Amino acid sequence: MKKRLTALMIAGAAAISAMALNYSDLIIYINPGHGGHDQSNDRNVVVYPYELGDTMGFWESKSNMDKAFRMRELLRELGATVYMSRVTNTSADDLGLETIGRLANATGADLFLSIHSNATGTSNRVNFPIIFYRGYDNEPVIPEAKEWARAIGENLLTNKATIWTSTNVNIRGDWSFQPTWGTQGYGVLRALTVPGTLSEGSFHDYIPETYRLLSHEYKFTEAWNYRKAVSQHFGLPGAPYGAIAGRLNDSRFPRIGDYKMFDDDLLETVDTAYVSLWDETGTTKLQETTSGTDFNGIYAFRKVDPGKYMLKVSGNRHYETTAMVEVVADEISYVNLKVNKIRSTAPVVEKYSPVWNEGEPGVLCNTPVVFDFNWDMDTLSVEKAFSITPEIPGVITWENNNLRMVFTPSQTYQTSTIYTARLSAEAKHAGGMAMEAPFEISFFTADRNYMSILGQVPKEGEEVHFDNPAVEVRFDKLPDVQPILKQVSVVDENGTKVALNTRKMTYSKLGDEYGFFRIAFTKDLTVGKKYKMTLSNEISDKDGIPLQDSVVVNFTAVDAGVEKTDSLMEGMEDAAVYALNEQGSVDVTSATITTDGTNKLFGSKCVNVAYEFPKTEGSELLLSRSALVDTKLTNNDAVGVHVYGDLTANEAYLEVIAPEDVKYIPLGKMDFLGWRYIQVPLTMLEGEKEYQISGIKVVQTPSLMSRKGEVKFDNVNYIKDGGAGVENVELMTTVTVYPNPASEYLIANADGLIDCVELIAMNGTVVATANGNVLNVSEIADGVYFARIHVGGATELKKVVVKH
Amino acid sequence: MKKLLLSIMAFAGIATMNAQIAEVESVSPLLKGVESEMYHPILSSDGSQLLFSDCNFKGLRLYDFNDNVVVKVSTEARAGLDATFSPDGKEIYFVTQTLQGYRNLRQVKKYTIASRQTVEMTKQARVISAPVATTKGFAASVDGKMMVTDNAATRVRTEGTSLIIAKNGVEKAYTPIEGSAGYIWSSLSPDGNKVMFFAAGFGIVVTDLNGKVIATPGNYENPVWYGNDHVVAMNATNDGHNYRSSQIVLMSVDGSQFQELTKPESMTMNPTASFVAGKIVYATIDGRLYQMNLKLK
Repeated sequence: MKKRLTALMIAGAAAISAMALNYSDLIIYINPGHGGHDQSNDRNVVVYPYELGDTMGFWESKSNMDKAFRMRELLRELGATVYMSRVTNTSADDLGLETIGRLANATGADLFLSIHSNATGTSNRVNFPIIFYRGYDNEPVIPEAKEWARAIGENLLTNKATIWTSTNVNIRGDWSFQPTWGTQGYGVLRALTVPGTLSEGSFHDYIPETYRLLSHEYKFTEAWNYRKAVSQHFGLPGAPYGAIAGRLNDSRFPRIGDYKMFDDDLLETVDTAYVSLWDETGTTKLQETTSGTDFNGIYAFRKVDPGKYMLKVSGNRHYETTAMVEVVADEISYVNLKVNKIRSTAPVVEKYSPVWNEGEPGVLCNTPVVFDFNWDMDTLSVEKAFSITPEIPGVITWENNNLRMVFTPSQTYQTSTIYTARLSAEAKHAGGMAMEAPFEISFFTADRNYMSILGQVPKEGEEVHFDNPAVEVRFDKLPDVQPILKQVSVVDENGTKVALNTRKMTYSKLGDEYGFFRIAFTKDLTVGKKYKMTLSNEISDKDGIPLQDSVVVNFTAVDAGVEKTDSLMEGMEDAAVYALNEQGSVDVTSATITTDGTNKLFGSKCVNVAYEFPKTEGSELLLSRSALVDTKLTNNDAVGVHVYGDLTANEAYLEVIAPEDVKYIPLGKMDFLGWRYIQVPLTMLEGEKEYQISGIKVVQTPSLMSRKGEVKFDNVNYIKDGGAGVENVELMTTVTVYPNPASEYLIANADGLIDCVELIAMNGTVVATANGNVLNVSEIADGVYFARIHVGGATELKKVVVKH
Repeated sequence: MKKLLLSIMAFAGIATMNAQIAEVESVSPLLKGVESEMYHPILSSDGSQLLFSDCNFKGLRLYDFNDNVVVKVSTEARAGLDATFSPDGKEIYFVTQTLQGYRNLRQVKKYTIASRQTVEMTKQARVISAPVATTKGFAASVDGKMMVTDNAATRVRTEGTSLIIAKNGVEKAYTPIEGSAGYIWSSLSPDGNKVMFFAAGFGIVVTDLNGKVIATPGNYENPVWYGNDHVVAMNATNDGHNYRSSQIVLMSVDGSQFQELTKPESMTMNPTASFVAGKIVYATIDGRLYQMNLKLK
């Protein structure tokens, strides 16, 4: 008996599986997600004209339910049994997640769909469907659920009435999507024993989509695609009819809104337009409808027999437009149309730029002139009607379907100048109607129209150490670094391009005192070879203010580290010999003296001095040796120092002392980068005296880039009896001060015009300053001081004594 | 870390209770370190045996509290959804599911605990109601037709928005609550005099044997009897996608008394109860089982 029962049961099962499947066999369970206009677990996106909480506005619960209704209608029409977890939108029927799953199981459903829409939860805006099933991405709990998800994903993406930001089929296992929740997954899928998915059909926080989701016709298209996914999942024939749907946009006018928009969503939607469906010849009207009322322009004809048709669109403010459309069974034919607005009034400038009012700062000297019109314009007539004074060459371009004219000057405006941009009344819109009156704007320009170079490496005629070279340019403003790699080039003497290591480019950041970029060469330069560097005048600052002219410099590669035959005085191997002399320094924020074994030229190390000053002028750094260098120097001799410049243009000196005398031997401005050999004759030393090196001094040159630097020193050589050739030294040997000692006045003399004289105490404090060359010391206490004389941007220090 | 936190919360029970109906004597984890992924517990009426499944209702395992042994009853899909003990605790009825041609086919099966034998009780069918085990057999609706092996027993089941009560071999359908999305979780009180079910959108409904509503204690899911006068259920909240809280609650049938047995953040759910044994078992969302011993005041 038992065997017989079993046999019967097996036969029954076989009969079921062999039955031809049709819709009447199917049970589909739909869960419209959320419910109840409940802010805590519903989603209300506030879009004009709806206020927060207005149930007429967008609520995900309502949108989901509308889609579910349409899907139910479409499935029932084909004969399927459909259940919905709710048919009203109250808090009461926003069921518990377990309840929903259990109800679906109890109905004997074959398929489950939870309808939702998505939101990024961030300020980012996207729009695409994403479908979830229970399980891991590649390990669904019920394999058929993943197939069901794929069918949904593929069908939703066929919707052309929307703008998708991604058209990849995006299906995910909820355990993979929310890994921190383990195997909890989405609550509504958790209690299911049937293939189920949760569909986030689109992103309701992408505002154009929010507006579309207010359209019943648009929600119908999504429901149609769910229904079609059901048909495909079970391999059943689809609907014997088709549908037409689409979106109407203005052909030229932009959509107004401060939210993110993509593609055609940038265009104004055409709402409440009359849309009619005609036979192929356009003689018999078959159906009619209107496009949406909520800034979506969506229309649809939900049931259309297969065939060819003519679609006509017209509105109060738009010209009639027609389109042919072919309808196929079980397909939505999407017809998105851009329609032309009727140009019924004279053109006017609605907005313009720059806007400048008397008394305001001048506008940037490269500011384009922008006119926004109320109509798309006849470009030829407008360009002819446009003028600007003082005259300046420029280019006119058009944007927004000829609603916006932009005049971009080909060169920067003159500084501190009033410009007037004018349109004569001959400017016409595309319909041929001219402006009723001329239009003009005036603006005042700023006092800077070019970007300045503060310093650069290499410079014209410079000898650049071949090893580990780089191009570095410093500006008065931060450069726009994005295009710089295309704006800098170096060629060798054969015209062959020399490669720069673009991956090692460094550049200034917001907040830096000056702008710069630095690009290392890919390889070392060849000693003795000549090179040419070009900086395009397209290099500009962040505001687009460019260099006035292109820069072309020729330079030669040398080896600053060639062994010298002269006597070595100091190998610069030990940084500990040098220490900050606070009394001899002025306004130093920090100074760090270290040995550097990596970048040395000779021996095993060099001395590295990293310093920082509090301001961009007025500081001096004195590093004193713990013991004098043995070699005695006289004014017949010369010294040679290997210096690694830091491009600050600060001045470096060797301090030498003799009994009752101290002198500073200028090594020149550190306006170079990398190693250089500097040889200086010691003619400034007083005759008959013997001096010894006692320290190093760095004197700040007033400049934006002088506040921080890092210089290195290596072998210091002694050249007995002078040594021919003086290189790269800007000497101020003509500066003198007298009387010394002084009691009433200290007077400085120089070849150039003396800007000012400062008296500095040994602790670094400036105790007196005089504009010009005469300093009153009558109130100054007796003592030893330094007089700092400023001449034409350079400075010279003189030790002086005040004695009353 | 999250699992640990959940475990601690589930273990600790709740310190502050808004009305003391019962005293919680103890809370302890079940089968800790022995079994994993334990969900959807079902106690036998005497509380000596426990059925549980995995998180997807797949498979069915039987735990005997007396000999501390877990036996595999089934590995099939859906086995954990509608499983039920016979009143004497000697047999288990459950429903399995297979997909054929993308359609679900279901079948009632019976497992005899002593012999560990499983037999098929119905043919494969499209829609089968949760089987109701009675003293001498079971009853289930199979594709709309009733299969009953024990006509004398009083029993209850739901179908859509119908509450179906059978007495003396006669079934009658009632709709005590209009407008619900469906009735589920139906059961007969231990004394056989009251019926309880859950009307989606309304909550727990208690009727007499003629379908007349006598109490609506509250809108809580997964209600089970704790004696004839109390109900244990699950109080869960969600954000439309995920659970935000879930706790086990105890209430009087008339809803006048209410007690939180676990904290909302404990994410405890799917309670099952045996009043005779003074025992409640529930799961956590991450698949652990806890036993709570209660004493009514």
